[in-house]
Amino acid sequence: MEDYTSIFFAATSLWAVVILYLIYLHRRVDALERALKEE
Amino acid sequence: MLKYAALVLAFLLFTYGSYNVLFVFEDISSPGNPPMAKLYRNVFFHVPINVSAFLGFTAALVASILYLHTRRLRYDLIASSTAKVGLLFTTFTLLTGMVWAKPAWGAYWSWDPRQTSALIMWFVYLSYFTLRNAIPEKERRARASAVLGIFGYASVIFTLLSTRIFPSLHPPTLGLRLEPEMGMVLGLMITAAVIVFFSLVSLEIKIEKLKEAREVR
Repeated sequence: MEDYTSIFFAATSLWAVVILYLIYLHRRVDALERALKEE
Repeated sequence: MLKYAALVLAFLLFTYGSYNVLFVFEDISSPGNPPMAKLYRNVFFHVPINVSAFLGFTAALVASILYLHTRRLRYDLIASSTAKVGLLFTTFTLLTGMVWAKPAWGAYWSWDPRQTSALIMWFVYLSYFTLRNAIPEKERRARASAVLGIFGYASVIFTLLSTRIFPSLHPPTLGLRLEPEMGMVLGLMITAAVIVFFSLVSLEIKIEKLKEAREVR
């Protein structure tokens, strides 16, 4: 293992967290829009 | 599916950049600091996140000034959303910096001026949200957080200048010299981070607006 692979894995994990958060926000927008329409 | 276009573009740019960083770019010559010959690669992950964090706090500063000037709550919404994403990205900047510092400096945390000033900045913007949560009344909350959003920006300037003011192990900001193809990949990685930044901010703003629309009903 090169000594910079830990940096890559850390950075990739953080990007994965950001992407999951983005998907969560998209789903939250969808849910709020649906609730508004139903009301 | 179009709404995920920005996300897919950012993902492709990040994947292309990571491939180059790991498999194409060779070690650089660093006789003064041998570990940096390999560890310079962190620049491609750490800097784009940091640029987006500074972008967030700068946008929060501009929106705070505009709020105090116009008293329109939409600027307060922009300020809080950009500061929120800026705080998230600062957390990631601190983490990627720590992971790099371990092999480069021998410890995750060594109270280097850049680490310390970035941590102070993180606490300043954390207090921004503590303040917002403590004030229920909208106008008062917007006014108080706009003032903190303006004065808190001093911590961003202090972080940027910390490596010039104090003796620091951290490479100086804007002092980086890269080969043209490395510079191009760094530019692409910064673009990916900025795309993600704007996607997060626009979604945060949309959610707050939808919540308000529900409250009005």
